Parts: sequence; structure tokens; C-alpha cells
Amino acid sequence: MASAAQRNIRSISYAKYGYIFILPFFLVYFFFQLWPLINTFILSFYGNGAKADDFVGLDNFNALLFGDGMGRTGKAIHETFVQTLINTLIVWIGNFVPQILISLLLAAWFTDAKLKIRGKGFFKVVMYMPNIITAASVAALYLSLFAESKYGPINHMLLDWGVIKEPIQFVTGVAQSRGMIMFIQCWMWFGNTMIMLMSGIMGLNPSLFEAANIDGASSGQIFRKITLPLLRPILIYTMVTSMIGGLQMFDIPYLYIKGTQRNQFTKTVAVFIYEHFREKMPKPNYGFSAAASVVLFIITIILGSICMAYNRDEDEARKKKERKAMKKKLKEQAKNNLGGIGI
Amino acid sequence: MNKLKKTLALVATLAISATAFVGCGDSSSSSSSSSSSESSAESSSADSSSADSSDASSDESSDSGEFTYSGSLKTGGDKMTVLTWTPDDLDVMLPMWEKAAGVDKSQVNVVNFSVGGGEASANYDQYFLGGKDLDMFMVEADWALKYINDNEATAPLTDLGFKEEDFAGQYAYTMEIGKSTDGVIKGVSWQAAPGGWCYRTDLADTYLGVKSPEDMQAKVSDWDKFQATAKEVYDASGKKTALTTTLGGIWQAFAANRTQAWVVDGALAIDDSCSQFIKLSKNMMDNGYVTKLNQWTDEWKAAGQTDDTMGYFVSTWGFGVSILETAAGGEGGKTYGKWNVCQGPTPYYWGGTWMCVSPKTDNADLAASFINYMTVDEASMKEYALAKPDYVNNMNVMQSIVDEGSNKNALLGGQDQFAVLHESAKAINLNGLITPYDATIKQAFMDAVNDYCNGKTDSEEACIDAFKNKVAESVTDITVD
Repeated sequence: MASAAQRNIRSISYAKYGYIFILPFFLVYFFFQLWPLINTFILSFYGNGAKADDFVGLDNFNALLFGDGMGRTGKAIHETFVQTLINTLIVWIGNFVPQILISLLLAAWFTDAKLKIRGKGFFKVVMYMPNIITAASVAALYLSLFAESKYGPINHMLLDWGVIKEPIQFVTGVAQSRGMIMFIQCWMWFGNTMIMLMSGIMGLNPSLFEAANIDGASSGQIFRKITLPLLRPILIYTMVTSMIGGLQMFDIPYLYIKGTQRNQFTKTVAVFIYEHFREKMPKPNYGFSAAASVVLFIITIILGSICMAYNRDEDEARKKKERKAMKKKLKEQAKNNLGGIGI
Repeated sequence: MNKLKKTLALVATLAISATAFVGCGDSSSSSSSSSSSESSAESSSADSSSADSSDASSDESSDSGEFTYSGSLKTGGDKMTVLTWTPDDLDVMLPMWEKAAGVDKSQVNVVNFSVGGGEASANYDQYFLGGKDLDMFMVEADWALKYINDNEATAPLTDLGFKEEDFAGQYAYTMEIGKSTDGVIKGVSWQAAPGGWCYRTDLADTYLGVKSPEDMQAKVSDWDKFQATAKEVYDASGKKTALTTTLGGIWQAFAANRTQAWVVDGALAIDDSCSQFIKLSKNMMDNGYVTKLNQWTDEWKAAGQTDDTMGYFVSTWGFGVSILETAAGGEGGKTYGKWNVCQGPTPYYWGGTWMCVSPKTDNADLAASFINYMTVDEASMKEYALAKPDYVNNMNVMQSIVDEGSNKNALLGGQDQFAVLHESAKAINLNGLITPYDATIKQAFMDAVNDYCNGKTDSEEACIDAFKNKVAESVTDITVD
């Protein structure tokens, strides 16, 4: 016979408190994340400027992706959008490839037990440092260092040494400005990537490295045959996060400009979205802005899925397939044995 | 124990949700509370000082005339709320007015967004959506029409008891900007911003043999002479010195030549002056008559201390640190005192701020009194002009200041810039050429011209085409052929 207290205890559901605790998060999430997200999709079907309340169907997408409809506006916006997409890809690839190579090299060195590098902690901190500085400061720093007139510090130095005759257009030149942004992004993020890869390498089973050493494998062999294959999940993860970050690249391209003129060769999709959302007078173009966000979202999903598909462990996938086939077979057998009565 | 846990859980939950939703409040709540606490702290001292200043203010009011409110909008509200994006002017204006009108500091609440003039509009829109108290707000010429044409946002000044004659002393162009497209006065400015062309006196003497602003004016009195003089300077300096610093500066002045608004009947209008400007820019840029710098960069202002450039286009507000003083290197700087100003090729204006009153105001009497103090009452305007110092929007006041000759600007080697600018200001003729789209269209045009001059587009047609594309993309409410 259970006492009243015991019955009471059974009736207490602790889950309730859990729900109460997470409720604020979900409320906030709903109002400030989920609803704006859904609203973006809705807005992408509405008009621009003064016609922001008119439902226009797929017109915005049509203009952005194919330049159809809306006359000159459609063509112009298509051109700009494609240009910003290309800019984004170029700048992202240009900063990601060197970044991953440098990070990988440094991570391998720092985790190599044989090298015994001194002051590892110091280097890690120093290399991570650029990431701590806000993008605004970084852009201001590079803008003053690489100022375009002959009085810009770098230009002045190069002119003085006779390396160049004319000041280099670091901020408005097509290749120069892209190169600068790639460099800044790479410089800001390689420390971060390096730390991530290092933790990945340190998470690998040390006995594998020891065994390889005893077997007389060279450092290069160990790196290629052991570190890299085992590091693949982390590498893919780095790639996916960097890709999402890269597609949304905003701060440096937005700030690294000369005066008030936006550089059309470094303008990324995120900057394009922001411009139409905020900087158009007298009325912003919410429709284009939202539609561009949706397109970017879809592109991100596609590229992300491709990366994830590469990450699939093929052995595991094959086993899964076999298991499935086995199950099916067993089921079939059972069906036959029991004269068609399913279990 | 159980109770305690439950209570704690509840408190924690409430605290989290409360902090999460704090952002839902209006952005001004913090600033207003801080300003009110500030003012309450100071109110005691203000009370005591008001006794001393009361005789002074009564003296002033005797010659400036008492203001009585005779409008139809609501009065008696708690606080007068003023929206602005920079407090520079209001910080001087409000205390002077409060003292003269006997208004306590706590009755005025300034909401300052601390952003560039171009971004202020977006902040205003959000504030308007919030439905908070609003009496007055400041607008910039480039986007003033957005609000002035909107009867929900701005009230006609006649509703505040003003008549058009009250503003008779104002410079004509400032009145044009304050009028809605159908001619109702809804915005008014306390300042005029006529611009001139400032040049280095030492370089002018060396390369051109010019000794006075009058002689210089003769050499740059129209755009052909401007270019010819540019060539003279460039050649005489051994291809080193450009006549003026940026294309953007030239455009500020050149735009005054426009005979057509940017948008006519809902379509983008490109008149002859655009093509003239493109030719002039290309000529000046290709030949080194203007430096390759852009406005609002650090190097732009720094160039004033080098011999790379001889001049800047500067408007009334630009004689301080915003342009020319910084360009000269500040007080005691390398070229401080080596500047002079002349009218330049065209009379033009550059910038300025207008005041609008919301139709939902509940402090119309205070707003009207403030507008009267800053824009109608000549005695108080003069007082302000000398105190700030600023170029106030009244021809009689500026005339008397020029006549007195009390303004000797050390930056200009003792020249009085007001005397020069006063002449320009009277000649500025807008012909109602402004549209709500000007800010975006002007930027697009300058970007296209800069690209053409820097070789990114290779012909005038391509330049105009790029400009049209940019406008078509940005302003979807007008048609672009």
C-alpha cells in the first residue's frame, strides 16, 4: 500500500520544469529567429520600393536569376546579382584554399611530438589574435596601411624603394582589391582553423602514430597515410562551416572601400542584400533583398549537401545497405514460413 | 524546499524572458531616462540660476519680442521630443532657446541616433513605427521630401501659426527644399549652406601670380576658366599640383547648373549638364587637374597639407574640422592661415538640416517657439550665429554680420568667409529641382563618373549606361529607359 507521499512523488513530472526552463529560449527563438526567417520567404514574393505591399509572385526571382521582366531594372539587377555571386565565390575560394593549407601545415607541425617546438602556446595565441580584433578595426587598419595615394604607407615605401613607379590601386583595382580581401580573410581566420584542426589531430589515437614510427614511416608518409584520412571528418566540417561563412561574407567587403563608393568587384551577395534592404532611398527594395537571401539559402543547402555527401563513410554505407538487404530477406523468409502472416 | 525551487525556477525564467524582450522596448527609453536623470540632477542648479538669468532673459525678450502660440495643433504634452542624428547643433541651440523662452531643460527630450545623415531616415522609420512621443525631427535635403510629401509625417507650418511672410528673410533655396511638391511649407532650416571654393594663397601666388580672392574669382568664374586655370597651375607646378581635390567636390558645385530635376514624370531625366560634367571630369582627371582621391577618405583631408592640390570646394559647415580645418592640419598646422575663399564657378549649396513638426505633436507651442527662435526672430538668430558660429538662414542677419566685419577667420588668414558666401547664397536658384530620390541617384551618378574617369568604363555612353543601370536597380519606383 503506497503512502500518500509516494503517490505524490509518482505524480510529479520533472519534465515540466525542463519545459519551463527552455520555454524562454523557444519564445525568443520563435519571435526573433524563426518568424523573421519565414517572413523572409514571404517578403521575397512581394514588391520593391513603394510597391512593397503588392504580391508579385516569382517576379523578384525571375529578375534576379534570369533578368526577365521589369525592363532595365530586371537586367541591371540580374547583372549585379550574378556579379556579386561570382565575387563571393572568387573571394571565398581565394581565401579558403591558402587558409586550409597553412592551417593544416601549422597544425601538423604543432602536434608533431618529434618536432618539440618551443613556445607553442605563444604561437597559438598570436596566430589566433587577428580573429579577436573586430572586422571594423581590421578594415580601418588595412585601409590606412594600403591607402591608394602615394602617401599611403605601403605605397610610399614601395615608391621610395623604386619597386613601383605609380601607386598601386589596393582598394579599387579589380585584382588588387580582391586579393587584399582574400588576404585579410585568410589572415583573420587561419588561426581559428588551425586550432580546430589541431584538436582534431590530437583526438586521433596516438598508438597509430607510434606504430607508424616503429615501422619506420617518414613524417610525410604519416601525414598522408594516417593523419589526413583520419582527419577527413574534421576537414569536411571546416570546409562546410567556412563555406557557409564565406557565402555570407559581409563585414570586410562592406568596409574595405574607398570613400563612399562601393567596389563592384568585391561586393558580395550579403552586401547586395544589405544594400537593398537598408541603403536605398527613399524606399528600400525588400523584395529583391529577400529573394536574394532565399537564393543564397538554397545555394548554401546545395553546396552543403554536396560536402556532406563526400563525408559519408563508404564502409558504413555499404554495411547499412547489407543490413537492410538482410532484414528484407529475413522478412521474406518469415512471410513464407508462416504462410503469409506478417510479424 | 519544493516551494523554494519552484520560486527560484520561476524567477530565473522570468529574468531570462525579461532580458530577452528588453530589446522590444523603444531605443530611446534609455537615452530619455538618462537625460531626465541628468536634468533632474541639474534642475536644482538650473532653478537657482534661473533667478539670476531671468533679468538677462527679460532684457533679451524685450528686444526680441515675446512669442505667443497661435496654431491649431495640440499643446500641453509632457515633453517635447526631438529626433536627430547628430547633436552638434542642438547642443548649442536648445540651451540658448530654453534660456530665452523660459523652458525647463526637463521639458525637452532629444533622441539622438548618432549615425550618418544618410542612415538617419531608416532609424526614423523604425521610431515612427514604434508610435512613441514625437514632436519635431531633423531632415537632410537629400531625403527631406520623403517626409515632407507625407502628410502623416509632417504638419504644415501654418498649423503652428506661422505665415509665409514670417520666413521672408530666408534664403530662397532653403524655402524651396522645405516645401512639399504641391507647395506647402512643412520644413524650415535655421542655417543656409552656400558653398565656395577655397584655395591655397601661397600656391596661387607662386603659380598664377594671384594675390587676392577677387583676382582668383576672375580666374575661376566659370567652368571653362576653371579648366584653363587648372592647366595653368598644373603646367606651372611641373605637373605636380592639381587645381582641386576631388570630382565629388566639383560635382557639389556643378550640380547647381542642372536645369531639370532628376526625376520628371516618374522617369529618370538626364540633362545636358550630366554630359558636360562627364566631359569636364574626364578632362580634369586624365590631365591631372584633379587628384584621384575620393571624398570622405582620410587622404582627402590630408592632401591639404601637401602641394598636390590647391583647392577644396567647401560649404559653410566645412570651414571647421569637417573639412578645411583638418585639411590645413588644425590650428598651427602646416597650411593653417594659408587659405582664402572665393565664390567659384557657380553659386551652389551643400548640405544643411531642416526642421519638421509631426502632426501628432502634443507640444506644438514649444515647437513653434523653438522654430520662431531659430528661424523667424532675427535678434535671436544673430545671437546664435555669433555664438556657434553658424551661417544662419536669414539674409538681413547675415548682411548685418558681414557689414560689421567682426568675423575674421584665422584659418583663412583673416578673411571673412561669410562675406563671400553671402553673395553666393542669394544667387542660388533651385527651381524646385529636388526629388525624394536625389540621395540614391546622385551617388549612382558619381560612382559611374568615377568609374569612367578611372578607366573602368571606356566611353561616355558606357558611363551613362552604367549610371542608368545603377538607378534602375536601386530605385524601382521610377522608370529608366
